[in-house]
Amino acid sequence: MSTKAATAHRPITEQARPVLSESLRAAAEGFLSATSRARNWSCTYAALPLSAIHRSSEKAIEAQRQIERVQSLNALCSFGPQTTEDEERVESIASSVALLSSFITSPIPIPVASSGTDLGTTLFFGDDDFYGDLEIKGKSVEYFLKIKRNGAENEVFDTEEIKNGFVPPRLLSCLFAHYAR
Amino acid sequence: MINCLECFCESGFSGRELQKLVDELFPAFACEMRVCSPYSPGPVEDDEQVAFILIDPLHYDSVRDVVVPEAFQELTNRDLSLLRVAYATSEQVNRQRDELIQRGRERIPPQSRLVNEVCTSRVGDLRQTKEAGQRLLGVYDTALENISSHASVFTRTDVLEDRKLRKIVRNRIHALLSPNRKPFGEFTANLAA
Repeated sequence: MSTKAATAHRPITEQARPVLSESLRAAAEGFLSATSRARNWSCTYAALPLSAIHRSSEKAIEAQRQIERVQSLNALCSFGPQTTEDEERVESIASSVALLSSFITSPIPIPVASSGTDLGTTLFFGDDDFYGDLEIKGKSVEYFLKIKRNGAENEVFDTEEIKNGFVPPRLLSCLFAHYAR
Repeated sequence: MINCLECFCESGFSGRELQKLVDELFPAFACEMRVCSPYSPGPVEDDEQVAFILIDPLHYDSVRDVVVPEAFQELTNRDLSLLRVAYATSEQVNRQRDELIQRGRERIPPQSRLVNEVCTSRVGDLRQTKEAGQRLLGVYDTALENISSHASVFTRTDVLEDRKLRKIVRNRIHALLSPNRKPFGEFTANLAA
């Protein structure tokens, strides 16, 4: 019998590399090549933004896939919100979509999304040194983070409001401290 | 004073309320060493392996190959159902898989579910899970009439009622179960027919 270890620690670029991303890369390369020729840019200028565009494209595709994973979205698209509970669920989904979108252009990877049986949705960050369990209900996010650094383990539990679709400040600082160091 | 079997089978409580009743009447997971079901093959031993059936896409993301902590939310919503590997038969496990898929079909709108993997753990490891020196998880023999290998994971009342402890217990059980995954076919192939 073999066991298969979960590989949540793999970087985002290795986790999901859809075929589409190759066409996006080709399209981006073509566009930049044509633009740089037209504007007489040197290759140095074109080389710098290319990797950033490619990375953002991959993350955008992954963010979209995670948004689609929030199963409740399908139900609500089919029937529309019928009850107060549905409305709360719609709000939770809107908050999750906003957070997922906000990670696209940041150093933070796209988390794995799921929808619970209650009214919320969850986002999960997992690697060897970081565990992040974010539960989104309406416009608030309750999170439990477990961060390992220099042999020490730190746990953070908090609830913050999601204002205007932005990652709340304390959560953002914890995520940046780990992923952007 | 009722005994463990009566508490589990005749109290009229189920799920989260049963967890609280068991914790109140039999603290420190005292019923683990007792038979808790008339269909029981015996109390669950520390050396036994237990399995949790993973549902795609509810419990994991097959593209990223990641089991989400939410997979184990039933622990604090109702109780977490496991299968005792030593007593499970392929027929029982296949029936359980079919029921899980069927439940998805019965939802409105129908939910597409796949069962391709299980994750396993040693019972003793689950029972050793502690926070601030206190045990978090109990594993009980909760055999059902048609699934005699059924077992349940319960936690303490204070864990059920504390938001932070609920997240901690989810982290602990995720760390124990999610790394040990097996393809469903391989798992059932090693069970009795």
